[in-house]
Amino acid sequence: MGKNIVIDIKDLTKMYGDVVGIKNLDLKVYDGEIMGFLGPNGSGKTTTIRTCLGLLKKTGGDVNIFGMDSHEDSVNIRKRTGYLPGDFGLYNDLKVMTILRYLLSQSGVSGESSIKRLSELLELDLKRRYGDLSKGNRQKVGIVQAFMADQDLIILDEPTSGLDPLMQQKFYGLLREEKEKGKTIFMSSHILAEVEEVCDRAAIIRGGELQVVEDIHSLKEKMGKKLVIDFENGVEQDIFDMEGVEDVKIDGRTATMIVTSNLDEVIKKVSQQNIINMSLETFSLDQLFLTYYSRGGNR
Amino acid sequence: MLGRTMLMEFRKSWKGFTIFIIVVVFTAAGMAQLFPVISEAFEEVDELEGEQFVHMEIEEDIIHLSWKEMDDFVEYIVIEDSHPYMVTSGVVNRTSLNHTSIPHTEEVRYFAVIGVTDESSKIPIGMTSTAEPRDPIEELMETPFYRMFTTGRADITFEEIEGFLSVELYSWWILLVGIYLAYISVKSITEDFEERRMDIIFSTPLPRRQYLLEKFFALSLFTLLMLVLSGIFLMLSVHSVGEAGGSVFFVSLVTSWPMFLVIIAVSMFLGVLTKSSRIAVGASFAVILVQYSLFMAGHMVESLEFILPYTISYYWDYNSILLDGIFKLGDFLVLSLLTFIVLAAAIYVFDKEDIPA
Repeated sequence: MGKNIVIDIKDLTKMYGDVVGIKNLDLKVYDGEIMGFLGPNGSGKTTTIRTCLGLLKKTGGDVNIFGMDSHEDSVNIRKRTGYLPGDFGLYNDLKVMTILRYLLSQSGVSGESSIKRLSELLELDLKRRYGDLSKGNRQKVGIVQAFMADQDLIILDEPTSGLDPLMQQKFYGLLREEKEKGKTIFMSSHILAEVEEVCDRAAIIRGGELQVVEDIHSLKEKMGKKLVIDFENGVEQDIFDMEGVEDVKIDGRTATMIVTSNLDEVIKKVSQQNIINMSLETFSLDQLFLTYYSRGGNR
Repeated sequence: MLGRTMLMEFRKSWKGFTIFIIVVVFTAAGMAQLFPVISEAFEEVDELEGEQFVHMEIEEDIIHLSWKEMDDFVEYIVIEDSHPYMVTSGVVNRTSLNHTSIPHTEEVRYFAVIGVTDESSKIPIGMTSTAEPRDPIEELMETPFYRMFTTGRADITFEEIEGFLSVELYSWWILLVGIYLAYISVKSITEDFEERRMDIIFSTPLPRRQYLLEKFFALSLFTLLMLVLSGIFLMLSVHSVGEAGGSVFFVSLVTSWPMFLVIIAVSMFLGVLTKSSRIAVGASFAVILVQYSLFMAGHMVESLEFILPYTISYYWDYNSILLDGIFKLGDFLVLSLLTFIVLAAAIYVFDKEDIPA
């Protein structure tokens, strides 16, 4: 990963009248990384992204992208940036191919090979009218247009919303491919597992304020996973008495706990018992917020 | 890239455009087809209705009216007005005789005699006037009400096709074309907001100024195309009813273009400002209708004439082209300047505001 800063957000504030959109946000996205932008709905992710792109006018602070001011130089920034909005519409009466060709030509790119390649990957029918597409297929059109001009920076707002799990995996593959090519990707999500799967780093925002920016590995470590085991004959609480296991609760024959490390030890220990069922879940974002601070996450 | 947004405007709206062009062309050309029938009807009216039944004699300062006596009537009512159509008439006399005398004044007066039967039903007997015999329709055209549709010109007559089309087509042309143009101009902006296309449109390196200008040019070109087609078909239609002077109709119709450019610019401005189809469409219709009403009022009432230069319609003097063959370059410049100012305002507002999510 290079250390050139692609997106440099400094003390950014956006107010909607008296309502805070985002407040004093500082964030850097480096060249060649996939940066996840995590937060519950209404936390300010979309506001941050749309302010970066000049769609919203900032109230205070600065955003520099490729070293250019996001407001003065918005057009030049957009020449190098692909964007998938979280909520968008297109021309319902026109065919997908017509729309994509129009958007591609606006970016000054000729040739349709990228449209063809991406639509084949995502199984998108280019001959259909946009208005006839399902929500998932519309999302695919959004993804294709974000990537088709082969730009250096791709900003994605909730990119997998509406995609089925299989398609989500294909999309993650696409992200990795683009990263290989040296692209910088800044994507928002409210799904922790998704960020864990594809991102190098994650920034977490809540209530318009940045909570934490962390390497994805250390985030995982601090965060732990929820482990649920059903035993045939029940179990004593003290067998889980070890480093990296917390919040152990026994309810009848079911044990629930949070494992931050030493998962290997836990499995070895419980394997001496008869196990009926076992599941390991990534936290939901809400659970993350509930446990993150008690676990000593620092800002 | 230059011109792409303009092409897109045509691409997504060509069906509506086409239908509207057909409607406008048919209206323009069809109106000229009505001329022979209507002018014939007007030519026949050369005397007051029932003039032969009422006799008038003026003797110094007395007017003597007499009429044919009929058995069915128990009373006669004589009414008078300063216009032949007796809308604001007053009763001069009621009598059971078949004649009456009235003091004579210098003013032009029209008299009508109405017979009342013993069952109290009233039947008009006839009319007469102190005026030279005139076509009552021509009289009508000079009244304040009709001055609205003649832009105050007394030389308009239905017996000539220029006059006929001036009143029956050109006088409401701004409504026919302007209302639709206002609608599509507003929509071309607000739909991109309401259908949430703005984010993707402005993720491409398209400056907001260029977006507005390309839409404006698309709508302007569409309007010009429509005016040229209407002009051509109107010309052909005038020719087909055996009237001469076709090109003057073409020129007078096509020179309404700058007026419509103002309407397009104002509608786009309202679209950008409100970002709402409902509000902006309503507001742009209001602009057109209010300025049209003021334009009409300015011609109807002399004391309101000062309003005229504040209306858009005032700067498309079709009668000057139709009747005098004069194109007013000054008017063209006023409308062009106005278009420029309003467009600049639209760009200014659009550039500095948020695009709502």
